[in-house]
Amino acid sequence: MYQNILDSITPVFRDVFDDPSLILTNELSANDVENWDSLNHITLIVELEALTGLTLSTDELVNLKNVGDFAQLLADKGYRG
Amino acid sequence: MDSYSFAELSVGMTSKRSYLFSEQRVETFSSLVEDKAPVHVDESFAIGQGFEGRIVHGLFVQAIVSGMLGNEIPGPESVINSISMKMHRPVLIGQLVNYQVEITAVTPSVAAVSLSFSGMVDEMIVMSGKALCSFL
Repeated sequence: MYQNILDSITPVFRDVFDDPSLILTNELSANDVENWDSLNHITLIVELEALTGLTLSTDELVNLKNVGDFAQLLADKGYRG
Repeated sequence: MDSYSFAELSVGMTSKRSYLFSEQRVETFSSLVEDKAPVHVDESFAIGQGFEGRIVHGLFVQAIVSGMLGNEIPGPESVINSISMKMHRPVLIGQLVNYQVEITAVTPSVAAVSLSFSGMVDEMIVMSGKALCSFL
């Protein structure tokens, strides 16, 4: 589901979390990534907004539980990867 | 000192500061970080390496930006998430560096501010970089 989006955002995740082998799946969450702390989360969102050209809101982000939810949000806002 | 809330910050806002890298300040920094590399403390060595004199530690040149980020924009309610810098030319002891920090992006969803910064000696750029800060 939304594989194009996952492929597109994978380099950002790998760079932010300093893990060149990180594989994005819909189920992947902050609990699964060692360096996914609050500071890196901010960097991640800033870089992803820059990549996609989208402007996200705090309300949109607060309920996201995993990468799949995030890909769904990007798709809902028109991003196709 | 101006202090801004996140909502008051916008792309294009700038802050400026001049800083003199005096011999005393450089010696203090050298002691604090325990960097006594001869290019910083030995005039004849530095000249022998092709410099006009002893040069200031690159991270000292960058460190002044920390004060600008913390005191001006984004201000005291922010922290640095990441920062990168390039040294374009050496800064010699006794030179005055004129700094400018500018907001390049604001990301409300995570209360983050992206900035670029640069340092000039006379009309010559000596350093530049980027920073990402977030509000507490």
